Amino acid sequence: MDTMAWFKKYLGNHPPHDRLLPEAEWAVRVCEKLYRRTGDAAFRAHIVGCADAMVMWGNVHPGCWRALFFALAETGEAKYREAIENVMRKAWRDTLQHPDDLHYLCDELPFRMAYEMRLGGMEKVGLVAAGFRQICQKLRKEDTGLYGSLSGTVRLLLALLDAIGICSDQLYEHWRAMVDLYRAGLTAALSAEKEDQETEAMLVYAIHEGVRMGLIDPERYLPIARKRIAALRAAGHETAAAMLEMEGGAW
Amino acid sequence: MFEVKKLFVSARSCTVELPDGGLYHTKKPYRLTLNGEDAGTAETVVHTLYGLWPETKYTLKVFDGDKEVGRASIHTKEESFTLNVQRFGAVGDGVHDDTPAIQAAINVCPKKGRVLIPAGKYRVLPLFMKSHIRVEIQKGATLLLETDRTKFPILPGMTRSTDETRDLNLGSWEGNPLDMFAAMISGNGVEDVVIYGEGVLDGQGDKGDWWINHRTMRGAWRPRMLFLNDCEDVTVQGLTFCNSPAWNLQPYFSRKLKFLNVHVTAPADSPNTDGFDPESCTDVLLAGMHFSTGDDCIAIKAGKLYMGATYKTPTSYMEVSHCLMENGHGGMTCGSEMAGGVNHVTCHDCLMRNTDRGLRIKTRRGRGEQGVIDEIVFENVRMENVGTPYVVNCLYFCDPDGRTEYVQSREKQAVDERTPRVGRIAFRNVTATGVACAGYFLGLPEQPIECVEMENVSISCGADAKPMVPAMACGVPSVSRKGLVAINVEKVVMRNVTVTGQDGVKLECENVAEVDEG
Repeated sequence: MDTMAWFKKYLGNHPPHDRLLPEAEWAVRVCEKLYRRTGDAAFRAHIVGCADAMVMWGNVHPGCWRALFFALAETGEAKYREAIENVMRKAWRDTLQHPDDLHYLCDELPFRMAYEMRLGGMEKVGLVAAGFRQICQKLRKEDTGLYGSLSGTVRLLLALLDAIGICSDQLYEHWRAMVDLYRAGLTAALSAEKEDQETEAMLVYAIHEGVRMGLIDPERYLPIARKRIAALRAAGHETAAAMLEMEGGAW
Repeated sequence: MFEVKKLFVSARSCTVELPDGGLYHTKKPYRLTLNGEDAGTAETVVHTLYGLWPETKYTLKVFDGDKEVGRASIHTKEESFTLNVQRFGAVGDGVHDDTPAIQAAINVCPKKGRVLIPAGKYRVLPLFMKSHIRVEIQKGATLLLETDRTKFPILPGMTRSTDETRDLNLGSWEGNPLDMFAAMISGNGVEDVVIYGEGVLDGQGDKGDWWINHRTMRGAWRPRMLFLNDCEDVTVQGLTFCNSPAWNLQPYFSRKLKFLNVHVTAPADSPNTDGFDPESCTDVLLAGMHFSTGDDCIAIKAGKLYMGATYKTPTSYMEVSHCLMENGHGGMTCGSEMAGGVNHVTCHDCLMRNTDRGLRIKTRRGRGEQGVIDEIVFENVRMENVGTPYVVNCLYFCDPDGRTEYVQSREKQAVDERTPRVGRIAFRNVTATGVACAGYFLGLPEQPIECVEMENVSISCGADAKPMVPAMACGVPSVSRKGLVAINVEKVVMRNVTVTGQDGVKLECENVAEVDEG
């Protein structure tokens, strides 16, 4: 299959304002990486369109927060900054009060990290890292090492990867604290019983990103990722497999 | 007569101290003889003799005119073999890449052997030391560091062990374990090494792109001239290091080190070209060093929070004597990366000239509770045209987050695991002339500096001294003809302290619990 052609067709069929699209987050992630790699304006347009939709709605679509930062960096338009600031004006939720609300966590902490690194003067980078630490400590199961369920752990791994990717490694203690949480969570996730295919796809992505970012040993982990993506494809989960393939470039 | 002190003897060289009361330079030139033969003239208190023969007894005599004023017996050490790099294919024409030849000579050199680099210009990429060897870079020999960063090996900051339980730390940048280009000379886990001679190591920072857009990491962080990681019993004697891409000499988690009669130079406007940056090292002697750099001459370090809290290794028991620090930002600095702590450091009989600051202690919230600076002593030091001779700054605005409210707040914060501490700092028999600000001690409101002791200290403000910001913290104004300032200090002890030429009071205090002028 020509995955690039498939993905472009996919974007054509799923415009960015389709707010209910479950893969919207993935589409934005993939578009951002492909735009950086190819410079193809179609990918840029999809992300900026997604940001425009969120400005119009007045809130952030789950997983798509990165589109606002991308659009701000690309266009410099004040409306994106305003949308980001609007989210930031909402009070920090007490992570210990809502430790099970991974949906919140997986959007809010990376979003706040992006804000701190790009707009906020890095004032609260330590708080973001501490937020992750508190949540992981709270959720961690002694017997499995998972942060709650497998799917919850995997969501958390993706959030950690987002935050690690944004955080400067010159703030090493914060960066490293998140890396350690990621590594421990990944080890637990790989030992756990497989759940649904979506979780499996996200886990493969979490491995691949960890390798790409130099956090884990490619010699040990890439064969695991390759085996799992092959299994996904064999099971007919073509969308996830293709997205992962697009994301990964050369596996 | 004075007692000639032997600081270090190798098979072919010897460094002695001629304590005639001079600081860096002797008060007068002295004629030297070795076994009755002329051995040149000594004009510095710390002086090195070259061209000695292994396993030989010498009598060194020191003459003031015809009068003998000192003598010492020297017995040189054993040497097994000499491997001349030109026999290994080094060309020394400044064009040919001589790295493989020199590295081969190092790699095959037997125990107690000497790798000899004779006169010539040797273009090199990073070289790696091994244990139990001596490397002599002779007079007239210059090593020229390659300028193309794409040819440099990278030393990774952290590498996980195969069983994923430990880290291997090879690279470092400003207190964090980050990827760096290998230094011109690297030692990793080596011991019993001597690198000496009258040769030159030129980093060619002025010719490559290292100093351009220098705050941006491109491929890896900039290389140093000498990087010793986990090394023991290493002596560097007599060499000249110039034009480093970044910091010059960086021993790192190493022990038993001597740096003697080494010259370190870099243009005054070159970025981050610190002279000597020991990080988490112990038992370090610097004697007769000459620094003229674009940043701090000596910057004593112990990592940022992760390294300090994880490895808990301070820099301690360090002696700096008879050194000349010129130009640059600070004469001797502690920090700002000091999360493992810095203690028992003595700087004595030194001369500082035209540096922005003399003793400069830099720290900030976030360095951690292991970050304790204590027992720092300055004794018999003269400073000429030093902007601010004494600065302790606990609100230093370094790092990406250095200007945040957390770091810069003048309000009392909670003392926690991220709060550093400054203990006792002492200055004795120190004179400073031509200063803009006599001294600036800025502690944390929640963790004041414990004690600043000044005894027999004389400071005179320069009538035409250039105004300067004495401490790099938000809100500190530029000043000139300013006396001593102490903010957030437990105790200031002043005995026989004179400050002249200032506008206003000798000592300005804010949140100082006790001033003892007894």
